[in-house]
Amino acid sequence: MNIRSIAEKLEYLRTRDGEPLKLMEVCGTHTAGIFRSGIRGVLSPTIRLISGPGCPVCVTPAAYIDRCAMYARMPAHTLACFGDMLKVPGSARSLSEVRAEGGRVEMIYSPFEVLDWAMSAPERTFVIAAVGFETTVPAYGLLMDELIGRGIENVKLLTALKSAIPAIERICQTEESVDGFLCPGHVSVITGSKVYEPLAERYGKPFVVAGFEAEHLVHAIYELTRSAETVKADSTGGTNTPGQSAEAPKKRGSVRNLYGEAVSAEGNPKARRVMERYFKPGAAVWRGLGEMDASGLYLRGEYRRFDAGSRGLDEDGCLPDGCLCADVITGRIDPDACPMFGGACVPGNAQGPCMVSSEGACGIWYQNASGTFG
Amino acid sequence: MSEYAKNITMAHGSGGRDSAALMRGIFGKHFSNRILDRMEDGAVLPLTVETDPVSMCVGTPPLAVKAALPCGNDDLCTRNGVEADRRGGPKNAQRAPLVVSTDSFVVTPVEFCGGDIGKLAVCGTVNDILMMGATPKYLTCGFILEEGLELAVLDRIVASMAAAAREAGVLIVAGDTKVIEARGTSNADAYAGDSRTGADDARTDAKRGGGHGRFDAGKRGGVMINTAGIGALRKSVSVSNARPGDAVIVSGNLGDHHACILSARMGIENGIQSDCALLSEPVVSLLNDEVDVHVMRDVTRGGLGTVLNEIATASGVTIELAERDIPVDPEVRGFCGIMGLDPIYMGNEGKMVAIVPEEQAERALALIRASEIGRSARIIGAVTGDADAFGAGAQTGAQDMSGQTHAARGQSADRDALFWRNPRDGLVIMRTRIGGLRRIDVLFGEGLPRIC
Repeated sequence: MNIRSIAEKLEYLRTRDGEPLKLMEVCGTHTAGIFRSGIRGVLSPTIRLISGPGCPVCVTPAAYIDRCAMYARMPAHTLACFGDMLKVPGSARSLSEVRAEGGRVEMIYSPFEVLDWAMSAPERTFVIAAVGFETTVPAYGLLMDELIGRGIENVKLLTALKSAIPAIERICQTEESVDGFLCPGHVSVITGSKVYEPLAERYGKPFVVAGFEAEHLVHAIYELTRSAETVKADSTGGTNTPGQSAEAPKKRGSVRNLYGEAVSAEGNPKARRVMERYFKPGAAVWRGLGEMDASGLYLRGEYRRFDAGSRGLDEDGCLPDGCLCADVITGRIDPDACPMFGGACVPGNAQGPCMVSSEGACGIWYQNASGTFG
Repeated sequence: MSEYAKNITMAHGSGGRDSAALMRGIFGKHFSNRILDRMEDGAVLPLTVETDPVSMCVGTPPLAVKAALPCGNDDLCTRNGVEADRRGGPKNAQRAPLVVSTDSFVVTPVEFCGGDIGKLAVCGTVNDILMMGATPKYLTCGFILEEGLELAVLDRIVASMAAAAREAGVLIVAGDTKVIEARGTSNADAYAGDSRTGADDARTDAKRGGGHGRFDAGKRGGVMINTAGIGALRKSVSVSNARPGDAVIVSGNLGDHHACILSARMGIENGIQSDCALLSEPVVSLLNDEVDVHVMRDVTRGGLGTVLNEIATASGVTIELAERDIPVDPEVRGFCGIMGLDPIYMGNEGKMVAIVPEEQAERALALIRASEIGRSARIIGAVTGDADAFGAGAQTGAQDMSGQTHAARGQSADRDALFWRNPRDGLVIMRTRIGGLRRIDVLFGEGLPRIC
């Protein structure tokens, strides 16, 4: 079947009648795009979209927020962070609350804003809460270039930088029922689409890289659905065909890049070089996924003087009883299956980080209330 | 929501859910009275004011008002005001209910592409009066000036206010000025309990000068302006007047002001301009042509999504929008895509929503489009039903709009919908470009750019 137009693909997805499929959008921006497009309500009930661990705020442990709050309260210190971090609950308070109580928390739109502050207030130390995936790490590398080039010593990074790829691999290992992955678009700009090939091969799953507009999403979900159908047909058909070896044939994974205007196979090697100049991988704790080797990015030893104590912030004891953020992040449950969702846990009174962040699955579900229509 | 907050946070000023909670939880609780409780853009008072037919005409202000720093009891302003009132002559004078509204302005930077805080302070309050169906007549203004503000900047801002007031045909008749210490020092090291440290910071920074940001002189010297306006009621419109069958019109592209201000703060250069403007022209056209406008609302903080929810809730109705008809400038759309922002929730300073009976919609649209600021106006949706008929009603609406049946999921959809939504609230839903449905709620939090 050769379907070309978006309308035809949409019609296929709407009327599909086959084995149920579970497709994971890894990235929070995709979750937001999916809800804005209203596509969930259009899909056949046989296609289920689940949200993954692709919100850097949601997977950041509480101990990290507490460390941020500590700096905000420390004399002659200012904590600079992106807006998304302000409302994430720490074990006692969110940064927004710390600021309202007089703590020095400044919201930034770019880490480079801090350079001028640091130059004009040399007696003050500026701690940047550097949270994000591969997408944002190169910017911190460039910031390091500036700090070193200008001889600025009163800026430190408190990093919770993570690599999305090990997390996707962890999901491949533990969540066998996921039939395909919608890869994080912005991360892929840096890493390139080739980075998914070993995963596709090893786990026999389809991976699609796509943009965020409604048409992109239709295209991507269509491709994932078709590829997943092929994988399923191969594996079931294989075992039923006489004359084949007793072993089930190896499932064929695949990688398709539908976001060619922004993502190449190789990604952005220049950005990766900047990353590698200052950061090296190390073990990191992800909320919901636990500790994973080489999934965190930390300042290299020679730049330790710029590190505000980013290692070992693993404690994550702040999730209240009943909060199922960890299950949401791994796609085990939909947000509205959490008993607190919409009742005890709403965006203005979030119990868990998934409800706080604009990229968090629970917040996106709640605000767009897609359950209303599908 | 402020029910849960212990302190004021920035989200309380976003115009979204937290702002509404603050209104209910504190101001509404203590100030409650039958006028305030209507929660309109302004209040219609049981007092009357003489109307002046001349001043209703756009572009011909009653008198050229000499720009003067507002100073409490400025004789010149007062005299001009009286003369303006006499202009129509006792014979022409009619009396109309008095409308009053007030608004405060704290934008940073104070001067931006397409306007400044002075123009904003006049347009904002004048627009609020217009949205009540009234002719704006007088303004008062209060200035809070931060130590270090350049007088040349203040002069430009006030000149800009005067120009906007002339254009709006209003007189600025009273004012007040206060000066405060530079804000950078206010909460410095509160935990250290040493306020002198902060003050020293300020002096050090001021001496260094140059640069931009919160820790140098560039950020100090802010201006905050409050304006209050008085107008004469022409036609009673109310946020609670939307009726099933009405058409929803928006007067132009969404998100320009928000995108402009964010670009300036982030140091991004682009062609995006604030839409900061008076809404007099389209409003006067609609009223002069006797369009039976049910609701008018300016689309400011919190964006279209928040405003439509307020209307839907106050009127007890469901509003359905078509995504493809919502006007957004391509450059702003691109900016939003990069920043992860949604134009539906972005602030504007020269846009309005008009809700009119369906049979008058095309005429109203033509009138709005004929105005300078309404050229990209669109009919974006319709009021489709009572909010009370919600569960079944919304489902029916969903099927009607997409031509599809979601019956298989109807059961759980009903449950979820009722669960997620306060039954008191109205409902705003949007049919997306690909035929899906999306619920448009009020803005949550601060509407921030994403981090990844």
